[in-house]
Amino acid sequence: MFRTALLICAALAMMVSAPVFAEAPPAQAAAKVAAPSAKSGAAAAAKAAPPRDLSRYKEESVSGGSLLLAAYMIMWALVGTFVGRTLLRQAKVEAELTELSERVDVLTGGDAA
Amino acid sequence: MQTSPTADALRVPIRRPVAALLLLAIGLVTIEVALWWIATRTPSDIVLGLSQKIFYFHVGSAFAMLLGLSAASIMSLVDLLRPDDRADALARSFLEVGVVFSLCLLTSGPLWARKAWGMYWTWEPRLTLSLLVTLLAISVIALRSMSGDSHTGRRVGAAMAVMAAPASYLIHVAVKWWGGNHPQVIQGGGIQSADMRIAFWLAVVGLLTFASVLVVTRYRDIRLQQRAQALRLTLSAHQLRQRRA
Repeated sequence: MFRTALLICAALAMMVSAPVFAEAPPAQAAAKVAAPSAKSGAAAAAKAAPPRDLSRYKEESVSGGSLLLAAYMIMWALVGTFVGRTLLRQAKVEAELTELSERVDVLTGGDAA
Repeated sequence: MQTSPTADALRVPIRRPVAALLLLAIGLVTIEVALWWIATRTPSDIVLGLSQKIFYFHVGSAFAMLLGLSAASIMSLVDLLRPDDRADALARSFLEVGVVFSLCLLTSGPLWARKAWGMYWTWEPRLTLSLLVTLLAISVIALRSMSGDSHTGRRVGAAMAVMAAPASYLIHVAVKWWGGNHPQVIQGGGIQSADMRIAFWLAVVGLLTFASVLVVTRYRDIRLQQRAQALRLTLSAHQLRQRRA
């Protein structure tokens, strides 16, 4: 249980720190490319580096359907894991209870349980 | 007449609760209808596309989380003031189910935000508070898991869990008090489309019913563990008495 809690904390920490390490969003990057430099003249403009290829930003845009599918799948996976763990634990404790009840019955003649 | 915790635990019924099975059927059917309604009847957003449909179960998860953590907080307070195994079991059940739905909230929210805000996460008040409350609840679960049957662990855990209710209230009012990017659909005028409103309430009712079943199931699990512990104690006491005799 403790290991599970640690894993969840680590996953959350990775999730919230991801934007810090991510590249600038497409809008900002495009603005940087489009904004003309104040110091540049005609000659400088001629020598300026060719415009950057922005097609990869288009590729990066995630479709709404994928996000929706991912959200629903993760949600039901989380709930399913919890249900599965609880049912497994219950089956284990029920088996243990049956065994313990029999042992107590043998010892006490059925008075305790 | 007040009974000892051991005697009380020995009376925990082993049979499966029929009401929970009935609730489970109602919850699953409602969720199925909600999913069908969301897929076929609700419109897609012009800007967000299909990702807008994350909203229905995201808000349902938020309700389940806030209610679960608040109930855990109240039951923990009851257990602190008047120690009782049933209150403790209920507090732990509500807390664990609250954490499950807060994790659903914290994963579905960023996936919606990726399309709406262009990033998965931003440190705005409601999001930050939700994350902190989740971490607090996970800490309580870890503490209880590590401390076993320790009385001190139980009391410290309950004291920490009491904080969940005021924190949940702060999450609820965070946007109003401190602003932020988080949209306020319910408090800010409601949902205009009738189909969207139906889908929303179906999802909320379905998830809350399902969350109740999870609480009942986990409560039974913890109570059975308490009964097993009481039986172990009874067995040890009899064995000790026999050895002395």
